[in-house]
Amino acid sequence: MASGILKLDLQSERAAKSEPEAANSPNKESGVFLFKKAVFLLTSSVGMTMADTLVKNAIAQIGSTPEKLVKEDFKALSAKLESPLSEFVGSDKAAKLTSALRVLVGGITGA
Amino acid sequence: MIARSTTQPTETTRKSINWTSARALVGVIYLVAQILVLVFANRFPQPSAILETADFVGLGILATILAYQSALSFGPGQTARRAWLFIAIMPFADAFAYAAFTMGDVLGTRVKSGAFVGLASALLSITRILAALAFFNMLRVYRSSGLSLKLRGRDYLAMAVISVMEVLALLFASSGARASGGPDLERLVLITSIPLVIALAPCSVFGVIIWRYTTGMGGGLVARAWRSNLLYGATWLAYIVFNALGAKYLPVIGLGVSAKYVIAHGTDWILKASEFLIFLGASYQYQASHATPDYSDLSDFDISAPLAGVTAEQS
Repeated sequence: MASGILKLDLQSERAAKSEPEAANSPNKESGVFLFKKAVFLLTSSVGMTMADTLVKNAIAQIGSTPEKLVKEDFKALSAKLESPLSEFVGSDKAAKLTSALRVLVGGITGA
Repeated sequence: MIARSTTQPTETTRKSINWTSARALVGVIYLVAQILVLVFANRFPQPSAILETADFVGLGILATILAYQSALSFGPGQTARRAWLFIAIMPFADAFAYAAFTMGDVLGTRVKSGAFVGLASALLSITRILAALAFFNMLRVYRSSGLSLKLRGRDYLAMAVISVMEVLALLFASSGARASGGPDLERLVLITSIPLVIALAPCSVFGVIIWRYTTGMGGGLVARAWRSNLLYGATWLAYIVFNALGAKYLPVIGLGVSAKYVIAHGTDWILKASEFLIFLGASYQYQASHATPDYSDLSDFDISAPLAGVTAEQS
């Protein structure tokens, strides 16, 4: 599991380097953008609608909304998402996916 | 309302297995072996029987391993772990039963072992009861996810059709069993029919509800896994129905030898197709549980892309 998270960390660095245009996007920090990116990262595993439902549920549990979402929320959001996600993809994969959310969407490295 | 991208992140395992190619390769090997059996069965009966059994049993064992490994990826107390453990037993039971029924041809003795066939039939019955439990467990997982469920008219129709197939399978079970394994198996099948009735009815209801949930997920590997499992269940049931009806009516209806040959082999291929479907289901879940998503290139992620994909994929 640790190697998977490490891989995701390295991937996030590569992704950050390969996306200078995205980094300059004016919508990059908006809550809706973060929400949509979080859903996008889960789509290949659990499907678009299920990812949308699970992320919305987790956002509600941390007392926020997709519009008000900020990068700092992603630590708590990932923690809330891990358990429901693990019911579909297993514990290790859920940990990898939520780690990806923290790193790639929340920008929280080394967490 | 969520963003839709032209492509999704791909998921690969540690050794970078191309799962699409791997599944296709297994399918081609399985199919080619079955075609070879069909072509050479009359000229080389025993080698053909060995190849046919090895092919079916091999795929069943592979599906069992993948489903079992998928089950282990869930925590000890998780509902999905139980569901996948129950699923893992099903292809094993199929492989065991296939070996039991073809053992006489494989050994060239044409004699079936009553104990082996009886044990295999009992195991098959138990696994179908466990399937109902697996479906029920997965239904709880879907309900707790908060995903909305809206059953449509065609869902109730599907439940009715599957129920009719179950009734037909049970009504003609004794003739199918007698044709496959003789009077001993016929007695055993009649004994196991009562718990099967109790198990198969919820199977059809739970199965259709899970199918609706999976279509509502909007794609993904987990949805593919469960759809394959459900298609396996329906195909396996179709095989039982055709096998039982064929055993009852094929000897008495006025069809030519070639027509009977096509019907008999067609029925057999339904069973073989069902085994490939359970392999697909297990492989999709294994990929969902073990593969690492490749997020190295997220340039496809586009917030301004059309958002209609969610509802479009729910049908």
